[in-house]
Amino acid sequence: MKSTRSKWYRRGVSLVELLVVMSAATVILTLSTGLIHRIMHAQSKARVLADGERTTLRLGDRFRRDVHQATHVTVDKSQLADGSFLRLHLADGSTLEYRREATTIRRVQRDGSSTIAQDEFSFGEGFEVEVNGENGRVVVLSITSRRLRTNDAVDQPERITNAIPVDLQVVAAIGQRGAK
Amino acid sequence: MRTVLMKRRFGASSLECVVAFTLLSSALAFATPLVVKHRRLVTSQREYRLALDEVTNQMERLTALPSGEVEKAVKQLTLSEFAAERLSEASLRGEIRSVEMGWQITLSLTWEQPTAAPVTLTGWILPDRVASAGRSGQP
Repeated sequence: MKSTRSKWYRRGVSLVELLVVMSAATVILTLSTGLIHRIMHAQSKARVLADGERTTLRLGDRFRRDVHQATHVTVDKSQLADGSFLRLHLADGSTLEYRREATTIRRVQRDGSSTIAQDEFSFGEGFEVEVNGENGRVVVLSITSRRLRTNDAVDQPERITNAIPVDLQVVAAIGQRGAK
Repeated sequence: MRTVLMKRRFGASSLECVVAFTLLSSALAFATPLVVKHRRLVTSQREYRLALDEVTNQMERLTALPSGEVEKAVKQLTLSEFAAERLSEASLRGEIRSVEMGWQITLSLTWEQPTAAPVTLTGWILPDRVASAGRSGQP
């Protein structure tokens, strides 16, 4: 009789044991879920950042090479078409125009009225472009993410509104390629 | 039939629970620092690119100068506002020395980073090329 009673007793678990196991499982599952979420978020953010960095590098390199090839440049907005912020005049008579669009910067090469080539650099929404000519020798292109300070949180740091944070400043000397 | 039912397992032993808990804890302890390190790596990579851009921009400005002004400009090198805002405790150093073909300019940028090695760029300027580059173009 004793033996049968003992066997019946060992088949179950007490409420305390159940609670302990459930608590432990809950803690582990919560931690695991949080970690998986953070890893997935980090992965998607890393991909966006890598894309942004690649585009930034590509634009910087392309811009510098274009300015090196130019004989002279136009940065005055009154002389440029709507949306354009820079026109480069090349030795062969063609022109290169850099245009800002909603989420991209477009580089268009023209010969007269016909378009020879186009290239696009995508940065997402909310970036600012600034171009300056210095001393007639160099052109400075700056592309930065738009930063906003919210009215209700003046003491908080500035917040970058762009999904792809962009930080690029390229200085290029005009006609370097021709001088070599 | 009854014997078979008695031998079936409905749960896990304490030892299995402890092993599973240990494995999961180890995985968590290993993965959490990776996420933090990843963030630092992204920031560090961005700073390195900004530093490279800065020394390239400075070199570009120097090569565009007329030959007579290069030496003075190297001695008066200052970090751009753009880079100073983004690289903490950054300092730029430039050296110019006369070589057979013209001048050799070495620019070196240091900033607060885990690896102490500065970003260094060396360029050579031929005096006649500098002069012609400086004259061309009107923005």
